[in-house]
Amino acid sequence: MVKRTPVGLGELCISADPHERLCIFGLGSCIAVYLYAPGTSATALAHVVLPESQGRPGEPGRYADTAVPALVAGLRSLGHEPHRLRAAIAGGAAVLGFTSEIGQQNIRAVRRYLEDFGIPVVQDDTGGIRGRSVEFDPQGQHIEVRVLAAPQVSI
Amino acid sequence: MIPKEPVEHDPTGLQDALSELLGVHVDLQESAPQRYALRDIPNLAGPADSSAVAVYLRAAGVFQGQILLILPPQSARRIGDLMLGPGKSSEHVLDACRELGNIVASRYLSRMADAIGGRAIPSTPLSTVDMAGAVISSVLQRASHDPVVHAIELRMQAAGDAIRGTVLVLQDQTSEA
Repeated sequence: MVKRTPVGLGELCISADPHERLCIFGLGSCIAVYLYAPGTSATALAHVVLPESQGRPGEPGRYADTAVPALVAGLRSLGHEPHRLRAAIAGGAAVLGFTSEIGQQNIRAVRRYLEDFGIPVVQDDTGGIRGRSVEFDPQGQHIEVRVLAAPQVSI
Repeated sequence: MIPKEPVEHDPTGLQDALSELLGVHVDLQESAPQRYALRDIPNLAGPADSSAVAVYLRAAGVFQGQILLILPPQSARRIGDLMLGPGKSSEHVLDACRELGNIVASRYLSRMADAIGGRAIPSTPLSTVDMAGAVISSVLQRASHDPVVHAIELRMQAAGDAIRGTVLVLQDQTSEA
């Protein structure tokens, strides 16, 4: 039985349940950062809103600079060292005709902090102009991405 | 979802303005301004992954913040029918929704600015059709840290059809309203 766990803005979630799918509904210029340990069910997801915390308080999942270390620490607590981890990322769209600066800054920041830990990004569905809903299949170890289909974006 | 609270009758004059614009009776329900948990904000206009028409304006002047009108597609289409006649293109319907957004935003900005004493100036409206949560979260990113969110539910009746929408006013912390 598949269990879907939504992860809200700025939140972070870690799971070792092979039937639990961590998901984000209606992802815009935020980034879904998934880390997982290949060959296991261990998955972690942060719903990153902005690139840098700049000393601001708040949930660690909210900023790329605090989210990536928190995800790594969470999976390390389950016995998975950073060199074994892989990343899958999605989001960073320029929704509403906004210039894409925040989405692009988020993408760059997430990539930079993952690189600091030597974690490769093996799946990337970022950029564009449309929102997405995403969920991670811990058994197939990949992100499933959904966007609005053509009939839903015409009125 | 938005908690319902009785308010004084049409404090912004929006009800009368919309009734005049659409040629139908408009009934408004409004919530008091409050802080929402960050995770709840993308769901204030319905499920975050539902299709929605969004109209966005930025406010400058004494009130600084953002205003977002979210409409279900069928309500947007009905507004287009009422304002322009039936069978118009999606782009024309979006034009009608931008006009509606302009009026809604102007009324609420005037109210906020009056409370502070000064003028608030709305930007040109932007519009899109996308997932409601994707639009709302993208607007939130442009707000100050932990903005006050005023959520207003619009309910209208037009020849037996229910038209609904949600207005989100995100007040930057630099504003004093």
